[in-house]
Amino acid sequence: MKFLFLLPLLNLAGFLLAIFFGKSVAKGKAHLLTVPFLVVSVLLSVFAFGQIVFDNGTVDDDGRTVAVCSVLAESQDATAADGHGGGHESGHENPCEGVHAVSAATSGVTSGTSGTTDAPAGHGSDEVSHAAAAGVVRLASADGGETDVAQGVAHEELGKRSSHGIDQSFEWFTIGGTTFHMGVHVDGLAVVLCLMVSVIALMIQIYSIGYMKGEVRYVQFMATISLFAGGMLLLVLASNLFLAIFGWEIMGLCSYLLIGHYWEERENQNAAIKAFLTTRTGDIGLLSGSFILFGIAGTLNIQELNDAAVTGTIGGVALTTAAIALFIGVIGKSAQFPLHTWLPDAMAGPTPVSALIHAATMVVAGVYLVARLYGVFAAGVEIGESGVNLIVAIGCVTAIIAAFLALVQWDIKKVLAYSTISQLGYMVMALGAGAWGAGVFHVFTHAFFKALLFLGSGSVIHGCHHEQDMRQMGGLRKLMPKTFWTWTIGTLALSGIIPFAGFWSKDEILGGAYQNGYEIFFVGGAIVAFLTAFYMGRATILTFFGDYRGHAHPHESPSLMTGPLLFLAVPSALVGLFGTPWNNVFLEWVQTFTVKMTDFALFNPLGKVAVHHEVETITYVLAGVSLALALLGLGLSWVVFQMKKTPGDLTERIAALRVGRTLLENKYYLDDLYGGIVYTFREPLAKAVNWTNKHVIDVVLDLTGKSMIEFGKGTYFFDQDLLDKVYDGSAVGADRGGNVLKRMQTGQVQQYLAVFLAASAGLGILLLAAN
Amino acid sequence: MEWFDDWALSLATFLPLVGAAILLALPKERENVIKTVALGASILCAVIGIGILFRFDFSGDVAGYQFEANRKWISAIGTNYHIGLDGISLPLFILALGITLLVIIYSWDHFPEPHNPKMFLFLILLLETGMLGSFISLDLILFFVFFEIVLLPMYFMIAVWGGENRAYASIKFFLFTMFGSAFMLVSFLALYFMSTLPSGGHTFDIVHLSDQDLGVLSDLGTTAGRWIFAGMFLGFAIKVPMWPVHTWLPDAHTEAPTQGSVLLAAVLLKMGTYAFVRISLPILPDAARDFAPYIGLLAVIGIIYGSLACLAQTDVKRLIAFSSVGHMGFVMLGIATLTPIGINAALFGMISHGIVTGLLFFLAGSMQHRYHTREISRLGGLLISMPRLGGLLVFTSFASLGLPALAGFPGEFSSMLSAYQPAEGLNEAVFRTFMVIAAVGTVLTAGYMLYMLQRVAQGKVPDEWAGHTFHDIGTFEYMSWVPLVLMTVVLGVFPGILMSVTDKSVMSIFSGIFG
Repeated sequence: MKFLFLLPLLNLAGFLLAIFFGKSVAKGKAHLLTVPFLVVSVLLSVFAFGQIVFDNGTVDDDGRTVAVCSVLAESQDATAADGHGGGHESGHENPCEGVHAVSAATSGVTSGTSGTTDAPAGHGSDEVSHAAAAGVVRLASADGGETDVAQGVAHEELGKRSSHGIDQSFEWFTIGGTTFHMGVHVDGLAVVLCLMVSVIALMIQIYSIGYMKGEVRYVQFMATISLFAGGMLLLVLASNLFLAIFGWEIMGLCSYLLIGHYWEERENQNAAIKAFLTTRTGDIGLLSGSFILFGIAGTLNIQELNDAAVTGTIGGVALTTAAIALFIGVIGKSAQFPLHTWLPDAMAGPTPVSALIHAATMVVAGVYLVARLYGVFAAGVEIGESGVNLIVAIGCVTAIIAAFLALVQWDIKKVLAYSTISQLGYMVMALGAGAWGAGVFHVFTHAFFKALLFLGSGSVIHGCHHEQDMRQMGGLRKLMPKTFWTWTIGTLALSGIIPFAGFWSKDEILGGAYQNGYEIFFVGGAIVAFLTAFYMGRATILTFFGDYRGHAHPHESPSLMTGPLLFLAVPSALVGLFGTPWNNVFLEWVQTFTVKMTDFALFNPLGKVAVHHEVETITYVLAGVSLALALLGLGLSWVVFQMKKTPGDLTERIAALRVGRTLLENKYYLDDLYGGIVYTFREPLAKAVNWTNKHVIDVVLDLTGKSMIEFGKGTYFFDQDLLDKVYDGSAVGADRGGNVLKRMQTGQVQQYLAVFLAASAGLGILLLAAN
Repeated sequence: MEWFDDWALSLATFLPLVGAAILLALPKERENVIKTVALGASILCAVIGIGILFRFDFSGDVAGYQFEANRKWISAIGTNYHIGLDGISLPLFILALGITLLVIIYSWDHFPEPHNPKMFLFLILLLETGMLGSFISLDLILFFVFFEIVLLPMYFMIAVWGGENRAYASIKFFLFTMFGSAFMLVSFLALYFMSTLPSGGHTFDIVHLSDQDLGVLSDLGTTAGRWIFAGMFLGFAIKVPMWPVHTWLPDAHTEAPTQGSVLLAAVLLKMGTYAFVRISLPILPDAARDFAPYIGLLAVIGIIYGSLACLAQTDVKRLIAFSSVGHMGFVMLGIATLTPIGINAALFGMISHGIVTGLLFFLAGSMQHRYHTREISRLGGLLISMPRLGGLLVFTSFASLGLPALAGFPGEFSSMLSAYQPAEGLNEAVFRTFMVIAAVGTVLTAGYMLYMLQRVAQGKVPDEWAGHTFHDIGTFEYMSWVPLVLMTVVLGVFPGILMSVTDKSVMSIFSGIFG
């Protein structure tokens, strides 16, 4: 685990090698330079993952006992009170020492790295610390003395794990007396995400060797994918928000470069720019939120921020504003309503890119941020306080509107794109409903099956000679059997059919929403479950069943492409089994070293949500409902699209449906709205500014220039035409002003210069003489 | 090494002048000798600069200035030849040395019409003395002299070697700056006459004037302080340039030869912001507090306004010039917060803008050199016709739009960060509004940069250039650009290198003043 910090660096190295030597040394075989680094990344992640799974995080390979640190939480209050300097004690190069090196010396500042990870806070920390010392291990609850019941539960459940992850950092820079650290925070959540990202990135690179063969800028493509993976890993591991923003923006850059990979076409350029600018618009929120957090907490360390928010050290309007602002960043990055419109356009990039960036990893960056900074979000938007909050609402709305949009797409990649938006909405909804573990679980499962589906669609497109319209497909089941079967597994997983991966995570989300008092959103989620199965059924039938309707000669893809498909099919089918309701080991993994956040009541500072441990039966009922809905969706799609039992012109005959269809086909007119706003205002505004510059400011302020006109005609460097033009355009008032000024300054540069020089020379001589 | 400590700054500052004098004595035709002399002078300067870096005590234990020298100059008015460096001026001093060297290297085979390397290099060396002098002066009159010295060479550079509208642009540049300088000088004189040293008498000494404990300006009334501040503000703000006195900048930049644009953007603009940090704020903290919200307002207007104006540009250089208005807005916003973080951010922003925008102007110049046009509508497909130049343009544009891990980001980030919590006595709500507006500005910045890239770097090669073969980046271009590229990455990834230098001085000067 302590080598995980190498992951971003490895991929950065891969990027640099490929970009500089990809052409010359590797002779265009850039994958030789990038893939090895990804392989090492995967190995390191697997190794770390093994430690999480088998050691359960209590002891790491050095035999270092984690986390029994008695000094802690002593100065949580001091952290924020001391305007700057919260949490910035010495950097710890050595993780082992770092954990113990709680800086009493620098006290008054903070408890620092070691005090942060699980940080029971403020009140009640004494008894907790004792518990820790006794080897019981502190629980990571924030409720301190307030909800004793919850503590009891947590003791039982968490007795064997919890405590610190690994913090490795060094002093990065000091500004205004505040020190920022560059460092990583490794805990269960980070390890699981690292594994997911590196495995999928590796698969996608291997797949790309086949898919991108002979395409332009192959070297840059491979290099950028490596950089992208590095950026995501950096975000995953970052221990402070400032570093996280690095990873966040590096991904933004890579996504811009990859979407616009074929930048000869204006359309692709525009898609790339749209993606970059839309996410960047969200970043206004991300930046502002970070500034506010720094302002109120005096630190950007993620763990410290969580602690501060949970313990109530920071709070109130400022925290709420910060959380909302950060969430705007999430909306942009994770393509949530209303900033989701860039993602379908981003399909302009090569298909492996869509799989990597716009399904499996980058878009979940926003979701990950919420999961990572959960304390801040939970306290900020008051998750668990009432049946609704901003996050859950946005998530649900996104999930539903995108699912509807997926229904009317003909482009196979667009179906998946809208499906992605919808599923991201699901994850956000889960987090907003306090079902932290479910949200993270869905990130994990979704990454595998959605990457699988995207790569499958790429295989279809490749096989059909760059045809993306499903109306030109059909009957590919027999022609592309490997693609078909793996696609089917992906579809079943996404639709939430037992026992495939998506079923378990989706079920957990629905269950979480229901149990935490978000019943309405349970209904919304159930609708989405139905729609998902329906549109996936539609896409599958249109593509693989019936007769081939296109004009090409479809063929199965090469093994470099089907290999990753087969590989990804395995986790798509099976990873869900780690998170069954009766034995949720996934939850244990992601919570290793992490604050226990799933059971929201424990986490909620006010403890208003009751703990639901007795509702197992309802879990199965809910699971049954969601499964039934999914089967219904698939069945209905079979009836409609395969058996064609309904009249095809249904939408023609029923007005309401027609309206709905038009609305969907125009993507709720959101693109038109935004485009309209941008195009209405950009040109005129920019022009107005330019005009102001030329005709107002210049005229008003450039009085000296105007006065030149009368006197400067004979001078050497005088351009009559231009100045006359300006003069003509000048207002009468300006002219008068010019006359006034004229008297002060002759306006003739040479003359002025001569006088000035003579005067200063004279003055100098005079003064020297006087001296 | 005592000797070095006493003389290093003076040597570095006046060596270019010696070089310039030698150039004057050389016959015009011996171009290679002329180039060698100029290059030699600037290399020698840079070597001294490296020596200074080695001898400079970065530990922060040394209070005040290093390499200090203080000799009587004109006793009648009590002005001294007082020079010195601290963490605030050192980076700018090195930046000026370095950029001049790179500009001279670039000039080797890039002399603009009407050629005449002798006079061109003469002016650059003269300019170097002025720039370096401004950053080491610790006396108001000395500062003023150097500040004005800079004006002439730049004026002639634009007026003689500039583009079509060079006459208009150069005069505009000259008059604007001169106009501001007049007010600045009046303010300096007022400060002098209103100061009282404990030993009696008046002073121009910046160190004495800014020492609040010394009470040199204790007799100064609030209103008088404000007027003096306003006078200096005008002089410095024009140099920065702040909205709405920025209109000389796009013209000057567009018309100036490449070398002139680079020096202007990289160093000259910084003299204005530097003067705020060195002179205005420490000497007149109370007036600064009164003015801060207005400075902040003008700064954020500049950010938005500059970015919007960029979107309307059809000329590559003009676009980059307007982007400077925006970037300097971030710098001024940092200064306006009056906090150590903000001022550090501003200093960082100055250096990073110098490096990144300097590089952008180099690139624009080289594009113009090859295409003989700067019209965005006539360009396109740079990545195809000259992949290296195009790639570098993409890189630099992203640095300029503030991508993390490149130099533009840390300055902008911390500048906005500081606006959340401005110094005591400033209205938080106002500055927080500025913060959000500035954040909006980052999106606009990305917008126009991508717009420029889309039209210049991407796409197909326009028919006009279809048959042409272009030379990609040449040797001298590499030599002058690679250091800037490296610095862009290094400062982006390790901002601490620069911040550790500035932070100590900033803390020691400002933490006491603004609480």
